[in-house]
Amino acid sequence: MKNNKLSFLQILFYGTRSFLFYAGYNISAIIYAPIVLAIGPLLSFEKRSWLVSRWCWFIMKWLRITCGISVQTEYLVDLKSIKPCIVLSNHQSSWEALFLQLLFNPSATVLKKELLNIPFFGWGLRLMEPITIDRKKPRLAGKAFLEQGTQAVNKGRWIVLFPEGTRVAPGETAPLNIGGFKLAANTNTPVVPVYHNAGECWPPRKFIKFPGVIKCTVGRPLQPEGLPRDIMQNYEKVMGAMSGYGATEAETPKESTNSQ
Amino acid sequence: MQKIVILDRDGVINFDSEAYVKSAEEWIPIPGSIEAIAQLKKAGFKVFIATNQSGIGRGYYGLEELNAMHQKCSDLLAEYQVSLDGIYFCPHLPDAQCRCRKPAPGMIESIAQEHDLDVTQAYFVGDSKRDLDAGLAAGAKPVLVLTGNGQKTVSQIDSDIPVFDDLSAFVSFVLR
Repeated sequence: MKNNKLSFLQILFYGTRSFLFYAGYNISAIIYAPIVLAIGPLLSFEKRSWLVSRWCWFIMKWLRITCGISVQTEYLVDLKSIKPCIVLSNHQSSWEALFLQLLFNPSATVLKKELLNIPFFGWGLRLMEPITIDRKKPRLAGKAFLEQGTQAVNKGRWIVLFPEGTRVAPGETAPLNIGGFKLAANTNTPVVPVYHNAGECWPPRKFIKFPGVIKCTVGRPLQPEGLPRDIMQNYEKVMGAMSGYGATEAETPKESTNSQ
Repeated sequence: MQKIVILDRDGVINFDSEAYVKSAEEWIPIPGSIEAIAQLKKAGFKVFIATNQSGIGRGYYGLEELNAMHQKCSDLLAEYQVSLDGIYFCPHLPDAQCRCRKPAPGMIESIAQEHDLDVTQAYFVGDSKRDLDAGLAAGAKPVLVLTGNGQKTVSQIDSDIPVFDDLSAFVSFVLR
């Protein structure tokens, strides 16, 4: 769809639908935020997260109504059978920040510290107890992330991270940040790999959206064995298999038979 | 995942010396290192040593002394009922341009070939830049320890390379 040159009418059509989406997005946020701010602090973190996730649920429905974007999720693991752990997903869009809140709840995500200072929106974010990074102090960022991440793990929350660090176009790759893998190794927490192709329907940093079905695969947990870089290599292999796609199952590298 | 660890000797397993470690008496294990090797072996790892010993080429000591040092190490490990899978050393002088003197990867490659192992699955633990360079050149996974020359080396390396206080700390982490 987006590979072909779009006609003016197509741009008008899809653009209008995107406009409708953002209209509903902002209006619903303005209506819902005060509810979250009022009731949120009185609820447990779990209930608070669930409350916020209902807005995410509405946004996904609204996205489907306005832009014709739906999602098909394939589970290679039964999430109810495992303890909350670290979720590492690829990053192509703004879509996954919302969708993963639905799959993994309650969760801790990583945000820039400055976002918490925004009136209303920032206060709401504070209620979500995110892991914050101070962009002005990059050298301390790694350490701060590990400390806060470990606290979140100890509180039994899912940790949703994007090792690519930035939104990447489908088919392209970005070097992975070692932080999430360090957290997995240090806290001995398994990693659930998630692969999706949201960027094809909701391209990053663009207004326009295209109808389609986003395919999302939730892979089997990877054990935090060896050093952080070992976990990262394993993750890259598994993500490569999952993105190669179709309905093929992602494989974790088999035990070698000629060692020991 | 294959479980393979290749260790530099001086500065990782035993205390190093600028005057070279020339005899079994001078070969003194760093506290915790023998036990760490034993833990690796018990966890199913193959453990090798790959060490530069140009002291032989320079005439400071001979093979007899080298064997005595290694016998001492093996005896200490025998107390834990384990033994090393191989000790590889390079006796050549620096200007001999051999394939085995680290930072050349020859010893690591020999270990992989002779024991039919996948070198990309091997950790290579050292205290000097030449250890890490040898590890990288061979395609293994270099790890730096801060014992021996480690403190001096840490400023010369990429932040990519994991750093541990000593062999014991590395093993504790890997076996966690």
